[in-house]
Amino acid sequence: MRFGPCNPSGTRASTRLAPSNGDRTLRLALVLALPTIALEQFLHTDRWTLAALPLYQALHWFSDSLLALPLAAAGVWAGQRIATRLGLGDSNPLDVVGRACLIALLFALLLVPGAALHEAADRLTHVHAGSATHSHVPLPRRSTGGPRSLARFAGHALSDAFTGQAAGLPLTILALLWGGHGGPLRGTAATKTLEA
Amino acid sequence: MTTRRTFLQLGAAVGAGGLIRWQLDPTSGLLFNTARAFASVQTQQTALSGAEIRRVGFVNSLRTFAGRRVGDASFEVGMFEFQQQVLPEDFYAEKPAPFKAGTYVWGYLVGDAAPSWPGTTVEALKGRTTTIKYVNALPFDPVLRKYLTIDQTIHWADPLNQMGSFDPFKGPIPTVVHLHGAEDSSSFDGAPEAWFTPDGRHGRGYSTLVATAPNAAVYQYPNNQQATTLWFHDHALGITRINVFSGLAAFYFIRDQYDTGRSDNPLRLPAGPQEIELMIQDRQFDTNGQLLFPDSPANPSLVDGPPGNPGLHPYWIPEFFGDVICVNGRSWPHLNVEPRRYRFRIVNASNARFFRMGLADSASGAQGPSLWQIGTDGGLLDRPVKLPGLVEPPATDPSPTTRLFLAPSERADIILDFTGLSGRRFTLTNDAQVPFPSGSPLDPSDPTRAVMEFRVTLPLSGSDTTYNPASGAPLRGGPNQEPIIVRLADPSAGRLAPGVQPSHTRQLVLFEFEGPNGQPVEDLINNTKWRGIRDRAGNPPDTPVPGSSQDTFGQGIWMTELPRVGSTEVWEWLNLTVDAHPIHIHLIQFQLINRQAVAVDPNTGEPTYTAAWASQFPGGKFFGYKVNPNGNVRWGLVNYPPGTIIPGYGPPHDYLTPNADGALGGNPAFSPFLSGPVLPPLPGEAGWKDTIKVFPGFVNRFVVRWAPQAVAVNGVQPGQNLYSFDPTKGPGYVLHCHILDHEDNEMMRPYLPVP
Repeated sequence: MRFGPCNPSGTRASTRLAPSNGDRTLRLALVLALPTIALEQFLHTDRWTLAALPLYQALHWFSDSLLALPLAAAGVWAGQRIATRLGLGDSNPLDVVGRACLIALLFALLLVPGAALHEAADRLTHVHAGSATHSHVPLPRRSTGGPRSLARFAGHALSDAFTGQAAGLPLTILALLWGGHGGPLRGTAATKTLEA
Repeated sequence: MTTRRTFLQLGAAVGAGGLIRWQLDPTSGLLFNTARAFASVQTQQTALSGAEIRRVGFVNSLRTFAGRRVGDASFEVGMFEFQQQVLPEDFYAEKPAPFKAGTYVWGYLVGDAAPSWPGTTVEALKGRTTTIKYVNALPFDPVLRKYLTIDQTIHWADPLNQMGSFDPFKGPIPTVVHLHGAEDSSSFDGAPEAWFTPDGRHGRGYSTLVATAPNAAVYQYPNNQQATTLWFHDHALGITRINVFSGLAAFYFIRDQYDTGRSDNPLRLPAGPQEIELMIQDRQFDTNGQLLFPDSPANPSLVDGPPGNPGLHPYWIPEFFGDVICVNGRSWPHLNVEPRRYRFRIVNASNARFFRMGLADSASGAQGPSLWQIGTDGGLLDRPVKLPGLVEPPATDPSPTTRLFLAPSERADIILDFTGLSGRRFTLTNDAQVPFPSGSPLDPSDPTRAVMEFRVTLPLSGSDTTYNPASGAPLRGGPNQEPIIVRLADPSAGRLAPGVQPSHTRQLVLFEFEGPNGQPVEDLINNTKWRGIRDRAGNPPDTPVPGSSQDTFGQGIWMTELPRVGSTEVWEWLNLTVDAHPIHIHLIQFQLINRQAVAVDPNTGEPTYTAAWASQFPGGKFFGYKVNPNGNVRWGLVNYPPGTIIPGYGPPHDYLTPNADGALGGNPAFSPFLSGPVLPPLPGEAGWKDTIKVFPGFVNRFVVRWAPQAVAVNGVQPGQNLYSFDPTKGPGYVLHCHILDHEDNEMMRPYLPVP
């Protein structure tokens, strides 16, 4: 493994014991995506449906989370890079919080086009839906038709995405603090420092 | 490589997510068919005499919705099972648990209101869309299913694919909501096959504005029609009678700049606490205060007998009649009123009971104040109609009546003037036969002769400056009023209005298919069942009724009524049954032209047309009933000789070939059989209607147009769509008898306007 993680002392860890950058990114993305999507779904699903169809809702949440995983991974990857460029460390709690905030912010932004992708998934998988505007929002059919409607849609999606971070951000902070964060990425200043 | 592996992992995650999502589709997804467990037993019930409840007087207070109607542009409506005190409170107090808490009912939870029967009224504003997410949140194992037996031998929603079984249904309850009288897209009209269940199964007509939870559908209403009293209720195929009986119904008002519902409305109509909706329904209860719907000799009702043809339909009864009158979900309630004018928005939401109503002094029985009808199903009348409510001999024909006469689903907008009547009490009375009109006159002691009571006990709060209908002042056509009604029919002359040129005339027959004991098996529109198929049990293959077209939404139904959008037609209904049928056509408001009797054979008492019609059938082997040597009646292939009516065959001739009257429909011409004068509409019918009583032994003529109400005569051409939506798309609309027990059992036909 070419880019193994470093332990706090700065020495290269065993590749057998530590996951790769990619694995760590994926794990962090899961930690970010699962609660974020869960909170979004919980807030936008009426209590009757939650109670009546718990298994369906669980599967719906799981599938949506998996579909959002690339967005979360992109957020993690980009967030880590930007944080490192900004000089945020990975052991100082404040730096970790800043790092997590960056990741959450990027993920939230990525979830806006993600909402449109979600629409496409709905259209493909729910053949009887007249249209597939974000499933929990009873917007008119023309909701994404014009600039104004598009802005409304994007605003709604952004609002949802930031709300979801109320669950995603704390868990991301915890995950980073717990040790899954430390991976310097290839080409970053930290990597170069270590390699030097 | 990390990058490659990561991308592969992400790709796998997305693939898995997509796969799960795909298989969650309620229509075809494997994951959705997860294990479900249902259990049900049918419950022995002893009928409670309505007279016992009536004896204690009008002790319930009327539940009203003034001040708490829901007027949002977007909200949710859930369907729930709960307990409600329908009978007097004392009745429940002495019952054991769980009955002590009330009657189990189903009802709508509208917006943030508590669930109730009827649901909280919706107020929509003309020109502003209303988006509603309907959620079927009934329990998977509802208590009421153990009381109300669901017959699977009728053509119904059938979510578990058990149709034909003689066992009571024990699965999830299918529902779908129809906004009755609305000009709306068929995708949101509550098509009978558009049902959805609490566990997310869907009918083949299901559609939703946006993807939503599988036990839900999002509908959107344009509200472009005139201010009026609509109502929404369940409409699932073959189970509407049970679902509405259980309580799934509510009002839906459309307001406009004139009829605002506020006290400063330009029409000066009574508003605020003086505007009250009345949903009138008959019900039967058992001795535990629970709903009773007769399903077998073991569960006899006090008005209905047991199912008449148990070998064919083990639990279905031809019409439900109860001996308890409920208004807004309470038995025989009272309303305390001030000595002033009140506006009442009334719907007869019964399964099958007609009401002919007037006001009588509760103490003396003397005639009370007149009812003033100011509106019909589709909006205000041009001028008020006085209904003195005189006691009259029971009518069996469309004779003029001075009473408020409502068949199931008909609405009336009424003003009652209690001015100067402080201290008095008035009973809203009823004298309509059951069934109507072939039933016997109501016994003087029949509890259903009373509907509710008005008590003029409140002090007058301020002066009453509201519109006085006794002045006869117009309700339309003046300043700050809706323009006068666009007249497609001239109600005074009983003919088409000048300038109206119908594209087609259709002549359609209402017919009752009876078992060997004379009990109804099915009532049919134009002798055609829901699917439009001549049923030979597959051998030789079934064939659609000639002249019909298959629906394009994949519902497996064949349509015969395919009018062009924008066209105007005359539909003539010849009712060969013995009872009146309230015929409802979805999407449109229309007008009654007239009624005209047909000749009757003095020997049989039947219209002479019946024999002439029967003679046109060619004979052949079709699905019907057989009487076995042991006397049991069973479904099977029957060899019908030529010249006998073949139930469900459709009309005897090709639907699209005009008859001697030039009318479509596949039937012999009506005109040679006409007898008697042309009867114009009753005064209370001379407006926009979406449900009209089709009297037996009469040709009942409607003028129907597939365009918004307000469009002028000849303001639209065939092929021209003036709706804000495309009515030619979606699962389509229906026309049916609004006796719920009839519409559930084949007396409904799909139709679709075509470009």
